[in-house]
Amino acid sequence: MAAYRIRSPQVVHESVAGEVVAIDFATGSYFSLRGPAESLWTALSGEEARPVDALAPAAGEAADTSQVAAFLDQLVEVGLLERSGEAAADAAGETGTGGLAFEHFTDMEELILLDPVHDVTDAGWPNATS
Amino acid sequence: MTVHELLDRCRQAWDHAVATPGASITERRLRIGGRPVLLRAVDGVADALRSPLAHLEVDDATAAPCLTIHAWATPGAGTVLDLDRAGLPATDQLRIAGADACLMAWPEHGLVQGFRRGTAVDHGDEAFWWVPGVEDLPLFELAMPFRPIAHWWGTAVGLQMVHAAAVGTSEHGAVLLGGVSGSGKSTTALWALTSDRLRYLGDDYVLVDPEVPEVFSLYATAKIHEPDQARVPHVRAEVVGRQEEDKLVAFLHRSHRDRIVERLPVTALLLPRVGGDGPRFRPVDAGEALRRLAPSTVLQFQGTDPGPALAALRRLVQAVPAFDLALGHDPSATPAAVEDLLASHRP
Repeated sequence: MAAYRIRSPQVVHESVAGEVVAIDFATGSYFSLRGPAESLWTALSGEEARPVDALAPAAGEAADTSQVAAFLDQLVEVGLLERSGEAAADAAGETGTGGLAFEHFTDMEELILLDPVHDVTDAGWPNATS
Repeated sequence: MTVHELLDRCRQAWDHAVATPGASITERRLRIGGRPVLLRAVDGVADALRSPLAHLEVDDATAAPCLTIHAWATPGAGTVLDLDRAGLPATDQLRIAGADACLMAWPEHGLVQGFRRGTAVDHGDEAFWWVPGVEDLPLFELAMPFRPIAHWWGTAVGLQMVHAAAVGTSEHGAVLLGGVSGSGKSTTALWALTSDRLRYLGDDYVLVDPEVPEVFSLYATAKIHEPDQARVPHVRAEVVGRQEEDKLVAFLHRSHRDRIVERLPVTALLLPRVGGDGPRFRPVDAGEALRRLAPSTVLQFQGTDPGPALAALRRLVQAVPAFDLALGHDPSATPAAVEDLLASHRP
């Protein structure tokens, strides 16, 4: 069974007033998750990857387990989550994602592209990351 | 080399610069984020970078500085720090961080900025700013010098640099104007200069103490795209240094010194957007406020762990009300609307 975790430290996130704001530093994309999607995200918090069966209850009546899996696979596709194990057999095709949805914003991506910053590796200066 | 080894090399280069026969050292005392900061600069560096920070200069020489910035212009940063060996495009930036220290380099400009927290022996935090010469400084340093240093030091002392404009009154506090470039926050802040009551703290970056919350001015400059100059005719911007695209810089300390203030409590957060039938305010919840305020700040973050910055912004949006601001077509109408909002929301 697939297990999922938030792609840290590349993704940072905060939850306030029932909305998760998640920012992906690799791409400059940022995301909003509200309602049951926010609850599902909160269930993901922590270092350990969590299997779909353990996460699905967080979505409540908004989605069944297969729909939760399809939604989580969408979050993997956009870079927010990492997955171990096989993706759901039908990611948001026929299954759909029930009442789970997110918004994806790309208007900040140019900040990453125009001023790239390279962090130095453990090998020390002047060895930079690729 | 580790970041501390690099900073030690910067220190050695500074010591060498000040010991050079004929070198003159200028000291300027500033108050940044409400705290004493000492700028020590060799030869013409202090004058080259004076205008953006001139409104923060203070005469008090008794307070021990919380931060000392050493700034000098001599060739050699590229060689001493091996900037050429990272194997990256010269236009890209390099960053190395360690415990309570950070250094960044702009190989294209030969610019290096570094910061480290003081030890018990040193008493204060220190920073280094090193370029080959002041004749060809990049626009971003002429308009907003030491920004990474201010960010790193601010983070260390509990202040968050925010990509936002800020205007306000002494009676009712300030609004932060957050959002992406082009949302109208800079134009709105510059039109506040025409108001008898509103005062200006910044148009692009400010320091915020999210626990109070309070906003601190950082730069008395504004960058204006040449096509937008007509929208702010009361502000005269000029070509500075090597012209970059169509960007001009207005040095507000020269023309509007009496309209700039150092600090104000934060009363509200405004999220402007161009167009609409305005100026008109619509309350937004903290989630929308964070989503519209945070990304441009956090994605320009120049430290290595943006999590605390996002958490600080979350605390800020939980502390003050937030409003979408439809600007309408007449920017001259906005100052009065902002004054009214401040008066009606100051606790």
